[in-house]
Amino acid sequence: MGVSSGQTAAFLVLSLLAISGAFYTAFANKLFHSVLALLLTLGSIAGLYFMMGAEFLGVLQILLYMGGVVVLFVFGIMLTPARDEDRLPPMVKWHMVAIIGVGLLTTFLVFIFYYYTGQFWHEIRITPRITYDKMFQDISALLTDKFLVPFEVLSVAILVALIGALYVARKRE
Amino acid sequence: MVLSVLLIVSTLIFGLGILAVVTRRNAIGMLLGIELMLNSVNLNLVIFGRFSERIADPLEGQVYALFIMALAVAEAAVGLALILALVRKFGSVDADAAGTLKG
Repeated sequence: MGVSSGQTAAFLVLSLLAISGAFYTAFANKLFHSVLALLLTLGSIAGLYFMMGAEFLGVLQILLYMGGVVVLFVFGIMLTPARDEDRLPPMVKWHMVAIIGVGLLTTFLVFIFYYYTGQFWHEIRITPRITYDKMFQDISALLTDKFLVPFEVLSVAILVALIGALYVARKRE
Repeated sequence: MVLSVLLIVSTLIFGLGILAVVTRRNAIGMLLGIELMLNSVNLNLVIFGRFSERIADPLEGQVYALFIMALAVAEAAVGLALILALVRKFGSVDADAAGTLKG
């Protein structure tokens, strides 16, 4: 079962949007623009989730990230004093070192994926789209059966994180 | 082709996240980079859950991504609380301002 050209085009458009949003997140001059670009990236990734048949994760991405985390960041920006310049000062040398190092790392990872998938730009085997009649039920069955212990540990971790965040951010007398 | 493109996308997003963490001086900007990296990892988990032949149930990758997503949200909350405390103590969001431990 192949992938229709429209689907491929949608994949490519969403990928381009995600990458450009990430790029602007990393390099925007104003922090608020950076948060808006992050919103674009998160939305594109949610679209990719939908296209890969992970609808539940896509909905959660929109709810939690685009609805929750971004608002949290906007509040954080509004509650903190603004800086004039956000970048490293004249130390452009270290800037270049960082860019070159990260570029090398990214190339390395791309090569690892190249060897993993075996073929690079050719058509790869596309598994037929797995449709779930009861996807949410299946996920909740996994969460309460195979992943029960991590699930409970996670809820404790979230509780600790909430209390810890309140404790750290409280007003000290 | 779709698999390679998606893997390259997630790798690039990860690299840009590292760059945001390394080059930004504003602590909130560094948190944004961390969110980018966590998102790319989530994307990778879903991709391999969807495309790998060795995974019996594709939903497992999504469940792992679910855990990471919850932890990422908690991490963002704790990180912003830390930044607020930083601002109270040093009066700046500059990560370089918190140099008390510097010898």
